[in-house]
Amino acid sequence: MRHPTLSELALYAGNDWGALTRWRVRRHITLCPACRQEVRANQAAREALRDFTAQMPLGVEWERLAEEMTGNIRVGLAAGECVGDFPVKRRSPLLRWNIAASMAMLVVLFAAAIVINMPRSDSGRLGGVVERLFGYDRSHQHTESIAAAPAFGVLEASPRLIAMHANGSTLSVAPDSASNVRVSVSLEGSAAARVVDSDTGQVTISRVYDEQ
Amino acid sequence: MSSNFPRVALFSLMAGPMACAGVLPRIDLPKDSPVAVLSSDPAGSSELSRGGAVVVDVHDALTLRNAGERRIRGITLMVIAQDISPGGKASVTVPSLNVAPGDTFPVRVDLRLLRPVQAADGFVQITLDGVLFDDLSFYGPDRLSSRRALTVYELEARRDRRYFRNLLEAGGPQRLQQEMLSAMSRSAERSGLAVQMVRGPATNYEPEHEMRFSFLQFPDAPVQPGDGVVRVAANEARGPRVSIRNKSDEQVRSVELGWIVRDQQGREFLADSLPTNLDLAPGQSREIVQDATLRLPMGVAGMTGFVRNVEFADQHVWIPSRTALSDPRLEQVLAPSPEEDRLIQIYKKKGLKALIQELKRFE
Repeated sequence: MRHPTLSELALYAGNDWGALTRWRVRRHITLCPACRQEVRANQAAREALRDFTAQMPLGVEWERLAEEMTGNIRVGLAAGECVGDFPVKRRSPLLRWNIAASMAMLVVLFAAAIVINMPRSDSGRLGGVVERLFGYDRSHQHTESIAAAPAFGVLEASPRLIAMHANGSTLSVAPDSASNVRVSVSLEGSAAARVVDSDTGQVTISRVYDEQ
Repeated sequence: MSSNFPRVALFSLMAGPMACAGVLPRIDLPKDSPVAVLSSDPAGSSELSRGGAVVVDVHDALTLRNAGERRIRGITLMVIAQDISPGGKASVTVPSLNVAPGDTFPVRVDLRLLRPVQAADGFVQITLDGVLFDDLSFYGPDRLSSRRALTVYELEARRDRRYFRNLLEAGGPQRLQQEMLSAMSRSAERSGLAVQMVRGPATNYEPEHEMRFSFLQFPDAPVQPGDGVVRVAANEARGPRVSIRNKSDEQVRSVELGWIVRDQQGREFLADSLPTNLDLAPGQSREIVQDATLRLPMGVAGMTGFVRNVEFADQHVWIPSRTALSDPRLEQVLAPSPEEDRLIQIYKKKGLKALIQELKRFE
């Protein structure tokens, strides 16, 4: 059993926890005599402190104390007038340069986070739009270009699996063992797995296609 | 199939709520099909909800019988999943068969469909796409170009069996064993690199540049490819294109090319392509452009091409010889034919004597 810390018990005793933590600590102290004792001690100390602060110290007269404080304030104001006018405090601008710089950096950081986490297809389109806005056209370059046609489906071939993924669906063949498996893809739109039966030697070629 | 109904019904009762009737594949074979379904065991098929998706596992262990009068050399079944769109199509091919009339053979279908919960329920249908016989004749609708693929597998099987028989006759069992051991060693060295293929022009926005690549030339090939060009952007190779010239005297219908893509770590991966409707007259040239993108785990560093096979207008097929395929670059990436894989497995499992018997079975 994990006991709450002393500070957790003290905050519980002062009714300073939220509902969930309060419920958790209460559940513990009903089962744990030591912690219950600690909570009671804290509550007793709080009661004693409250009683103590409610009593005025001996020899203190509130009327006299108030008159002295008023007098000190007046003396202070008079002394200020003798020295001269206080310099007018210039009102600080709403947006100081350091705040503006911080906000600009936050905006840059936020934009970078969006671009980095954006799917490649979207970021590519965004990049293309920005380039066109600034009049930069890659189509004039001979060795580099940007392609934008969407993919149809994806065929995958690995020793573990051949699969066709499209529209959130997958059609796959997973051979029982990767040791006797040969996989291949065809650029015409299929992936194949060839499996040799270890007992009979019979060869079975399973193939998935990416279109009807 | 009505003959499967009791088995399917019994399975449904035993499997309980995990499997539902929609999961069980429906098998539809033509009335004049040269194969018949002897049994169908869908044990293990299930449909489960996983968060916002439904996972449908389709397993079916079929036993088929050769109901025709010729030996079957290969078969392709088409599997259609109605609830996956687009796509939803798969196939299961069994090459290197030698099934006599009346004999039976197994075919396993293992597929997994993952679809959103919102998608409509569908069913899985298994149909026949084609059967290849020992005289290279074909039966079936051939929607998946099974005729060509099964013919290539059968010609490769005949070529490889002849090669191993020649080794046996020339050097005895020790020579055959030596070849089997080196074939197993080559097989172990080939890397299983994961790759993705995307139809259409491009999928990322990296700056791209054009890269020229060469073709391995086979002197006896009926077509001659020129140098190719591919656009490379980071880890993607886009739209390879190459000019092909028909140097034979016959009309070429299609050419299958192999693309060896090398990544920046020096690993190589082989991708196939099948340009259809090429219709190349003798002496004529045409540029082939593949509208597809290959995506590797690492950046693309280079590419090499070679001709895998050529189909002529009369549907006979040319494949490269064993000598042509002994190029070190090809040996590194090109998987052995399905028949060589089968023979290697027989050697590993049953030994040299069983392998020699198997080679003699096809004489």
